Amino acid sequence: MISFANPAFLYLGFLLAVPVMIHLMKHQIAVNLVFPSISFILKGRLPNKGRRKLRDILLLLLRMLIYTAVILMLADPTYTPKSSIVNMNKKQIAIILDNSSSMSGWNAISDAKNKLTEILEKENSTAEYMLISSSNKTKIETNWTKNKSQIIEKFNSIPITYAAGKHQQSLQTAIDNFSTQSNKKILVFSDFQVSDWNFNPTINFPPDIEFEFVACGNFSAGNVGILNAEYQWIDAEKLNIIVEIRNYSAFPERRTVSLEYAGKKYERVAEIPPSKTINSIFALKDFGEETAQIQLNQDAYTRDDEFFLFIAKPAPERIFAFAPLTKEPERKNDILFLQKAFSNSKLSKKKYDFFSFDGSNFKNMDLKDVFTIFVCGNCPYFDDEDYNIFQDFISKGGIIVVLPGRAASSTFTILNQKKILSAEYQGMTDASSKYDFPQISQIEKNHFLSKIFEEEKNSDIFLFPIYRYVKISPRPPAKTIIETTDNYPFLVSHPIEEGMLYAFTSAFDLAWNEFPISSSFLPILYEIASSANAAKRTTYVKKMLYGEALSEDIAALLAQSNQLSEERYPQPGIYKFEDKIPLQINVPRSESIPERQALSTLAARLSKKKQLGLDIPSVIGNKPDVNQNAINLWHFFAILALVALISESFCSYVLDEQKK
Amino acid sequence: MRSQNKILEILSPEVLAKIDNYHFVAKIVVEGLMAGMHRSIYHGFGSEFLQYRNYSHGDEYRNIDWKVYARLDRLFTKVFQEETNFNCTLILDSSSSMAYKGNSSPCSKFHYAAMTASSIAYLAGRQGDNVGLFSYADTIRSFVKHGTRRGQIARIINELIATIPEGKAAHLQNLKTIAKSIRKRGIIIFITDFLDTDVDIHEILKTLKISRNEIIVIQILDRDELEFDFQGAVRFIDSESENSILTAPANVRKEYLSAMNAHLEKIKNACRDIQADYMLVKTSDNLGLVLAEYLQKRGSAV
Repeated sequence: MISFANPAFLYLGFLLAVPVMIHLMKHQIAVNLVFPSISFILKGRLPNKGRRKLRDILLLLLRMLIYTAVILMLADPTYTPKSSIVNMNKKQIAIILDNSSSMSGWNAISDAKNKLTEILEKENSTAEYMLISSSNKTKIETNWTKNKSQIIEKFNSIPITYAAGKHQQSLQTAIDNFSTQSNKKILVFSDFQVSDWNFNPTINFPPDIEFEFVACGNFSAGNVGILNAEYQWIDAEKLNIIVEIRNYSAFPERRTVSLEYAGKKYERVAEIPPSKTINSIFALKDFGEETAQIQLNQDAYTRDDEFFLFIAKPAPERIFAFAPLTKEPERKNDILFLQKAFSNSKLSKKKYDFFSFDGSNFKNMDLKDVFTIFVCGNCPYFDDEDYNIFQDFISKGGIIVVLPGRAASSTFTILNQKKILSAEYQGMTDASSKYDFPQISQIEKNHFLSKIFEEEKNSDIFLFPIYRYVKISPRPPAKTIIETTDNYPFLVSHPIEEGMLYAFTSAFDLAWNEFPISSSFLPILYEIASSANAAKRTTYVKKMLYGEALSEDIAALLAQSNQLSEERYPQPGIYKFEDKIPLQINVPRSESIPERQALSTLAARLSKKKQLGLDIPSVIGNKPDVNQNAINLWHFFAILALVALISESFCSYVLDEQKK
Repeated sequence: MRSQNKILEILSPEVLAKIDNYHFVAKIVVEGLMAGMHRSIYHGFGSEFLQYRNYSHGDEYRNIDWKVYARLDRLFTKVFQEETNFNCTLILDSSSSMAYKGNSSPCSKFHYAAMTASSIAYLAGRQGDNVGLFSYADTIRSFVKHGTRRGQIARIINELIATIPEGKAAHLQNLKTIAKSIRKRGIIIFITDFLDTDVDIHEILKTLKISRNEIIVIQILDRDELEFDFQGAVRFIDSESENSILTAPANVRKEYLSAMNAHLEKIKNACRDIQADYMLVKTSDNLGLVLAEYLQKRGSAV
């Protein structure tokens, strides 16, 4: 099909008659001459009447060709292959409904339904429609149909998911499903929440597709929602539940925060300033329940007014203690005191599982959930592989506490050699008498252990005699934490990457000192054990947002128990499994933000044009452009005209010369 | 030779046609002619010595008797006996056909005829001839009675200026009328294009043969009429009858020239028959030739 950009020039086609007329009438156009001697003139025949010379015909054809080529050139013709011709009568409209979670609020979905009906009523009956739902996934709800009622019915039945929106895919789906020879339009019904629509498009939006944004809902109602909730174990039996509440509106809001836990309901009133986040804290006793449900009184958007929280009991930490009981039976004292310290959760306020091992080495140990290891005189009996594991354990955030045994010199010499403890062994001391015993004199000020003795009432817990200790001289990175009155270290530390090696210079043995029976013993041990890198502790709940991909095994388990929705995803809530980590699923909080994407910016971004600076509820996008497959013929006719002109001039000259 | 060339150049119709005023034209032509070519003829006219008179400013130097001057140191002009009552009658065809001017011609036939008549009148006047003028087309358009009075030439020339060539020429009727008014002997100079083919030329010319008048027929034609070198298709419209004929000149040229030559031959024969001198002049011809012919005839008529 040939089309013309300047069809008005085609009217000059009448000029084609000019050379024809000249050709036909050339010899009939007589010059009038007033002549006195007419009587001498006979009526002779007119030249060439009824006869066309070949020369004249050839020149006539060339001149007509010139006129034709020039007229067509001016008309700017374009050839469009038949396959590329857009059938302007065939209109296809792809309707995209945003069914992400935010559309459940702010009257967005009802607004969308009303607007769809209005728009479809105005469209002509020959248009075809496709319906696509768009949340975190894209689904073609209805394929091309002219049945408006079917579209409306389906539109009204599409459920709103709990997921956040990822809408580029739906636009791409619409683009891919248009037939090539049609007038194309994409109609998007959405609240155009900025969190869902503020993306840099990766799709190529063809210029021949018109798009229209239909903004739905009214964000002016604002929103207050639960942003997050966490729990914190205060001790083995007490916990805090901290609820983070966000006010998205421009006005202060008051909400009642309800917590259902262990069959009881707790409430707090929260006053939230505009555009601020506050924490509402519930201090509870542990009733052994694992599920808490937190709610706010509902507002324009209800899905963020609920939060499911799985409260995982802290797993008991495993404390290992190694002692060469066979070779050094007196080491059982160390084990005994350690066991007493870590077996009493009332004292420790944490649950520990304490394991002692007689002379065992690291190689065969399962160190999972072990963060603290006591090595009670066992160091001389470890081999290189043990020491590799030793160092690896510390470097990953673990704590090893080394106690001297019989072979104290070997212990500290080996540790020094292996650069696990930078301290020179300088010998042993023995108190000369029971009346001249060194004691702890000071604790390094900035160390966390010093906090134990900050209070006045704890000031005397230093007081215990030290009968025997190892003299070592630490050098950096090792440092003295607790010093004796003899100015020798009682406790040193040596950092190894993320963990720490502690070394007592005196065993937990009453033959060595009275530390295990002093008031200092338990606090110091508990603090040391607690200082192990908590980040390495196992997560006991998998927190997910609705729509995030499930692992296949979890999905299978949920499917088995019919807990998967139509979208193949569980509803927000807590899901527990026998041998798997529980799931905590909540609605994505990005859907809580009542802020609309500037539609002009979106339109410009999609069509890669400059922003107009307008933001109107419904924006008409691109007008269909020239078919990309069209071939402009301007140049062809320009060249043809030039060739014809040259030919005409040449032929005219040559034929005139021949005539002469 | 150089002066003759100069005169020819001056007398060329291209030059003369640019001069609007026939008075000037006539003066230039005659003086130019007299200065170069026909001195002897001039002196041959009416040259019987009569008497001396004192030189007056404007007298011809050639009439001054230099011998007397040499002796007396005074200027005297010879006065020759003039031919009294010698008529010079100019008859001018002022029909529409005379208005034709070809594209390559310097002037129309009538303009050329008027220059010719003006020049002859001027010359005749200088010689003391009685000069009169008739011009006619369908009727006599203008008439200047013979005379030698002061201003006669001017009157003739003015009449020529005022004449517009139009209408169909009724030769016989008008020439008869004219002939009746010519009573004295002299020269009749009939200036026409004489293209009428439906008239009896003999009869027309015979009407002029009266009272022993010498007749000079000067037929003035345009080059186009003589050569008929037109191209393409032409609708020829008769200048007098408005009849027209559409033809291809190239195709009919041969026949035209044959007819034209036959017509001219007829005129020539008719002139010979009545012992009239015939001159075929083209509007591109040098006017001096025409006048020379007149002077020749003038001389023989004495």
